[in-house]
Formats: sequence, structure tokens, C-alpha cells
Amino acid sequence: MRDFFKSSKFKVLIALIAVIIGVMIYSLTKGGYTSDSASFFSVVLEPFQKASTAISEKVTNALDTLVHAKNYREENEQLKERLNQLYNEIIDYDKLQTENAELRELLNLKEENDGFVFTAPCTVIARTANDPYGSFTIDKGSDDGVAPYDPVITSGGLVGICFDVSRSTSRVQTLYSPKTAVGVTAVHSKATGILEGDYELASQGFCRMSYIEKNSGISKGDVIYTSGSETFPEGQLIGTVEDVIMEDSGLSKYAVIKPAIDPDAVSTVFVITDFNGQGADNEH
Amino acid sequence: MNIDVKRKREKINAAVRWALYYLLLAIEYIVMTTIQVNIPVPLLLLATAVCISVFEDPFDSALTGCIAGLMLDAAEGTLIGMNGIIMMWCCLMSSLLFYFVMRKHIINVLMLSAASAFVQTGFRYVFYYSIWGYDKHGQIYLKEFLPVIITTVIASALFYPLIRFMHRKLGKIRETYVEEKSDDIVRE
Repeated sequence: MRDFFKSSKFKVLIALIAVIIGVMIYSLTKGGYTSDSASFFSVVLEPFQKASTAISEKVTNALDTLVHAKNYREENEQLKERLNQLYNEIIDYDKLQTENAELRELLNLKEENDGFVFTAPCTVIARTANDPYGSFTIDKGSDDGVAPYDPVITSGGLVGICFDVSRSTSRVQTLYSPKTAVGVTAVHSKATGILEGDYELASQGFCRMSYIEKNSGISKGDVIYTSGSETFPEGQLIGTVEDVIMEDSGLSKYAVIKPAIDPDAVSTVFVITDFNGQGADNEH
Repeated sequence: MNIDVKRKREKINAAVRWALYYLLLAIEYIVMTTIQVNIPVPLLLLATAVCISVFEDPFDSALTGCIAGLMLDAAEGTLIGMNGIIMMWCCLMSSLLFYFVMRKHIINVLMLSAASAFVQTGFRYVFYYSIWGYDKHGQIYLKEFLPVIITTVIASALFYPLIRFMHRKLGKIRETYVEEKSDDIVRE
């Protein structure tokens, strides 16, 4: 062993230590530990470090998945539960948004029709099967103040009238039905008539305005509204004239009317339970 | 075997062996600087350098220890050269002890590995924590450096068989002679 400490190899090691000490002093005088010699290994091995880091991350993630599988499962369950809560909140939010829109519509209707008494917004809960005239059921009945023959409207115009009123539901007979007869007036020509349903026209989405004087100036595009009666309030939009045809008798004309409201498309309506001029008797 | 062929093969073996040693050290440096585990990272470079010094001559061991120490400086962010000098002496002493005094046994290797790790962490503790008077710096040694010593010893137990295997397969070629019985024995 003594021979080694006296050998030239040992002297080389001492010289190496001296060099290293010199490097250490140089690093210290540089004000930090990041001398070029310090960063030599990191520079040379940087590409390998990057590859190793990528592999290490993947292995760590895989191990993490295995080790914490139970925690992740519990967390997953909690998140699913939270997600369901959020879904329910979204549904509630949608309901509130719809309700808000309906109430705004009702407010507008009330402002436009002073003296009308409306029910709360009525939701269409069922549509009558195999009815060519498109009648439907709403979720308001006699408990809500609805009575037979009460007019049903939306902000877009008249939809029909109520019939088969139960305590909590009512069926609505649309303008397409032959049982519905409404006194109407044309805006421009001031021609009057009776709007009623017709099977053939109903299948095409039209109604019939009968008993128009043959000399009246009613023409295509004329807007039709209710002329007012004990059943229907005045001024409710019905639709527009699509065609005017002379009756076979030659004594009067009839017009084909395109209703402003498509009953198949409505989801919320309002029932007018009272208005100025509403009478006990009606046209039906 | 022809003596020239034997020397040539031994030189090739030595070159391959040293190349593998340094490749292993490089891999360990990369692992030490990129691994993300919640356990104390062992001083892989120190463990390997000590294991190499068991089988190699003192000068080569000291040089390898110095290079491994410089890599450890870069990996740990310590003053460049500090671990270089420490590990040079550790490996030199290990090699001299195994060369002249101690048996090449795993227990001895683990003891020397622990001693080297103790010296390395001790210097680091003194120069980076103790002399600066940090609060509860004793706790730092117990909670940070002591587990490192333990994991380093465990790493040495894993590296020692690997280095021994490399040294045996790529070390000096040993020729075996089979003594044959001869019938031409003249009995008097």
C-alpha cells in the first residue's frame, strides 16, 4: 500500500485534486455554482435526460394508477354523483328559463289586452291521437279557473277554445275543427265572416272563412282577426288570406285562411278566463 | 492460448468493461436527475463507483470515483468538485483496502458503501446546512440524509453482483490446465 502512495499514479491523483480545487475556487469566484464545468454533464446528457424524463413520467403515471386505483375509483364515483347533480341543476335551469319566457309572454299579453284574465301558462301535455283537427290537452282545468269555451291564445294569436274541462286538464279545440266558429274581420277590406274548420282544408293546414259578401274587397294577404263576441275577445290575430273563392250559389264568397298559429307546434298556451264582454251564452 | 491473442482479448475485454461501467454511470446520472418517486433517491453513482473500486486497481478506481463524484455534483447541484474529491478518496481507499486487506465479500462492500455514503452526506450536511445554522438542521440529517444512506446501501447490494458479473466475464482471461495421468511412470 505504501508503494502506491509513493508512486507516480498517486502524484497524478494529487495533481487532479489540485485541479479540482482550482475549479471549485473558480466556480466560487464566479458567484455561483453554474460554471461551464458544472453544466458539462447536464449538457452532454440532456437528450438522454429528456428521454428518461418521458419514460419516467409514463412509468410514474402507470404506477400511480395502480397504487391509487381505489382513490381514483372513489373520486370517480363522487364525480359521477356530482355530474348527476349538475345535470339535474341544468334541467331545473332549463325549466326556470322556459317558465321565465312564458311569464314574460303572459306579461306582454296582459299589457296588450287590458281587462283580460289569464290562467298561468298552460303546458301542452298530450295531443289527441288520430284527430285531423289537431286538438290537444293542457295541464290546467276547472281548479285553475278554466271553463268550457274559454278562448286559448298565445302571443302569436288565437289557437282555439277549451272543451272537456276536468279539474286539472282541458282539451283544446283548434281553429281547424268544424265545431269552432269564430266571427272574424279582415284588416284592410273590413270584410266580415265566420271562420270555421274544414276537413279538406285542415289536412293542408288551412281554415275556411265563410259568408263573405260577394262585393267585398277581400284579397290574398289580408290579415284576419277576431271581430269580438261573447266567446272570443276582439282583436285576436287569426291568420292571413291565402285565396278567395266564390261560393257555388254565387251569393257569397269564402276565403282560405292560413292560421298564424300552428297548433301542432305550440307547447305553451294561455287561457283567457274572463274578458270584457264575455257572456254566459256563446256561439256554440 | 497464444500469449499475444490473450493480451489482445484482455485489452478488448477491458475496453468493453470500462465502456459498460461508464454507460452504467451515465444511466444512473440520468435516472437520478429524472426519477420522480416519493422515496429518498439513493446515491447510485456512489454505490456503483464503490462497487467498481472493489474489482479495479486503485488508480483507475480513484479516477472513476472522481468522475462519478463530478457527475454527482452536477446531479445534486453542489459545488462542482466537492463530491469529485470526496468520492475519489472514498474509491481510492475502498480499492486499496480490497486490494491489500479485505476480502471481496458483499458484507464488506456494503459496509464500505455505507461509510462512503456517510462521508458524502456528512460533508454535504456540514457545508450546506450545519455551518449556516439552519433551524433544526439535525432533523434534516435524520430525515433526509440518513434514508439516503440506507437506500444507497440497498442499491450497492443490487449493483455489486452486476459489477462482479461484468468483471468476471470481461476481466482477465484465466486459463485452466487439466492434469492428465500418465502411464509412463517408471517405478523403481
